[in-house]
Amino acid sequence: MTRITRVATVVVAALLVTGCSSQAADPNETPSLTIWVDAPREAAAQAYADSVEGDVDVTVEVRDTNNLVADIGLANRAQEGWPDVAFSGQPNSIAQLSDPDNGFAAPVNDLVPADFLDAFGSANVICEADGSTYCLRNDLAQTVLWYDVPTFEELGLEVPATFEEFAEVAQTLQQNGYVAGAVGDNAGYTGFFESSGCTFTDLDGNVLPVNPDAPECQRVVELIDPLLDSGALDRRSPFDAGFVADVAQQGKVAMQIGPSWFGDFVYTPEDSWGVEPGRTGAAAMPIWDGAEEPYSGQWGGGYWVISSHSEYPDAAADAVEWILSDAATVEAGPTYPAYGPSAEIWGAKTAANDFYAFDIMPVLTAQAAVLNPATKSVLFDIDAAYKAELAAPITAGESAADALQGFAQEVRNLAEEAGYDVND
Amino acid sequence: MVPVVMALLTSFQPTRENPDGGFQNYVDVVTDFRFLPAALNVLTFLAIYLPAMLIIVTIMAMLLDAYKSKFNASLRLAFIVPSAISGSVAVLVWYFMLEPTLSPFRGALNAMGITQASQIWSPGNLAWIFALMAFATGAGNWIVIQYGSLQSIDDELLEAARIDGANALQLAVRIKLPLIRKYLVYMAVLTFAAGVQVFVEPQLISAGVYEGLATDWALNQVGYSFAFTNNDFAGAAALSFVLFVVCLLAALYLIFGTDFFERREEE
Repeated sequence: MTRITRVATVVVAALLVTGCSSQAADPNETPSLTIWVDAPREAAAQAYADSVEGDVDVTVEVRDTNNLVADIGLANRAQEGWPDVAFSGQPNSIAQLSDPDNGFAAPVNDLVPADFLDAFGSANVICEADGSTYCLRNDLAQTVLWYDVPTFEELGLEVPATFEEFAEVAQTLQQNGYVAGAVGDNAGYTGFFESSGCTFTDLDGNVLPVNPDAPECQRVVELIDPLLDSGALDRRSPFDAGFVADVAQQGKVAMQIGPSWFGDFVYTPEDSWGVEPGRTGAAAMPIWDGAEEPYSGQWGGGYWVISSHSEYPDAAADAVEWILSDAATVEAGPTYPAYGPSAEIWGAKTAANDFYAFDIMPVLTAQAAVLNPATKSVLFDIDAAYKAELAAPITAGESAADALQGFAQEVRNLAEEAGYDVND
Repeated sequence: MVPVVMALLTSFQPTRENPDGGFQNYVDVVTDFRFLPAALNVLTFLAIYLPAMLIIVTIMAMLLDAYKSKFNASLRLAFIVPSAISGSVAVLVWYFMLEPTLSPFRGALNAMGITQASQIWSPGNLAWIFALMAFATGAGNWIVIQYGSLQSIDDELLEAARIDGANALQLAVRIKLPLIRKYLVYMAVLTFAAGVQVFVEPQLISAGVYEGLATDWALNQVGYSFAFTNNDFAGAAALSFVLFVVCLLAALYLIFGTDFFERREEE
């Protein structure tokens, strides 16, 4: 080894060592935090920044948080540029951020008080891996049964408590010119397959069971295929321009299984379904034959994640705790809060909302406690898979039974690619 | 060259599927379950897009060249305007034009029996729709460029042909076409390279408009999934390198298989 190469080796080694070691934060220094949010969460993050002005330097960056996994992937490549705190609107993506290969998400168990964590109930199940909790849910998108109260009264119908009753009511509605909801997009998967436990995400360690012939899957296709054929269920997305104009805005949706945000963001706005105030009610999910609870699926529901690279993890945890529990912030929030005490504050506003035929909060609260436990986060994009292989074929006219087989095959491929042991 | 070298180096790094790294990454990528369908989609897309570009652009450029009127300059501008609507905006514009409920052409769509969005946005139509989008954004520029290449033809040559009795069609097919052939080959190679890398149209349709409709539809999307869903940058780099080699081969054909870079004999 020549002298020059020896010197060069020492210099490079020194650079690597100093580059890799993170410097301990000076306790007297003002902590600085970078928070990545989407536009709807900007106000909450900004309110936090204002509340700690002078004590913590907070930079709020509004980003397309649908790209969070991609952005963190790039930061991991560059070994710099991570935020301290980030919001994601895609619950399934936490599996990737908490994966040891990625390493971005820090376990929150030691960063937030235990009673704070407990108040989320089962909302943080998707955040859990290897016995730790890697994220805190911001909001919940638990499905409920939305229905048109005057239509049900006129036709003398009872709100269905079981899915058998749902099918009977749906056929009656169809004969009277109404539909029992649109099932394209995420609506069919979250409302029916997921509520039944046919999720293909029910991980057990590294083993992922994928069995489209299991009872919890077959009871769904046996129920909805006749309803799709008769037109009682609409094959289109609830957001399909044709469905909105021809069915929803004509007041022809008599019931719809949809998430808790449907009332405020789909039923209410004039340019969406534009339903008249005072008509819409929410009921508990119907229960599947053989199921223990009337489980909800989840269409959305974001989470907060704290970076394992943060120099100020305690300040980062304080920020998330503040955003999730500050009364004024929570009350102004757009969707059902996942943190229990916040849900009560937010619920007072919803209970007083004249748009609904009655106070829907008891139903939303009850369903928030029965999220289907078969829904876990996985290392592949389950959302894209069911939209492409389940929802799109159903919308195109294929039977749910056939589409389910294609979806299962796609999940097997994706799961094996991601390194899971797939079994039936 | 730096990105190419970086991609090549990255493509041999270890992956979750293949902890040893190396050339096996390339095998994993091309045997991935998404690779073959995406490759077929891209080939179908190219089979529509490439001939449409070559034939229609050539005809339009020649018409522009043959009929010199006072509208010539405005027409050239009119051809270029659609190219200003870039990929992402073009996707939205085409969504509104094709969506039967919202389209300004809904009367025509309804007359053809198309009343539902699902009749348009179905997997079988995607190659046609993406080819239409790409054509609309790409053709205008090329019409004007090929118009330029037609302008380079010596007027004396055309005059001589006319004196010999050639009509406008003969002039176009026998004289002009052979003289601009190399420019057309150049256009074909660039259009092919762009087409192989189709990404924006399927990605945006699938991410925002009809979610999941075109997931992993094109090879570049599969590469994107490798990088950002599977956290497999080595696989993504390997796939990108495969695409690069395909485009490189096309470019080498341009250089060595055609006379594009040869000096004209008369010069």
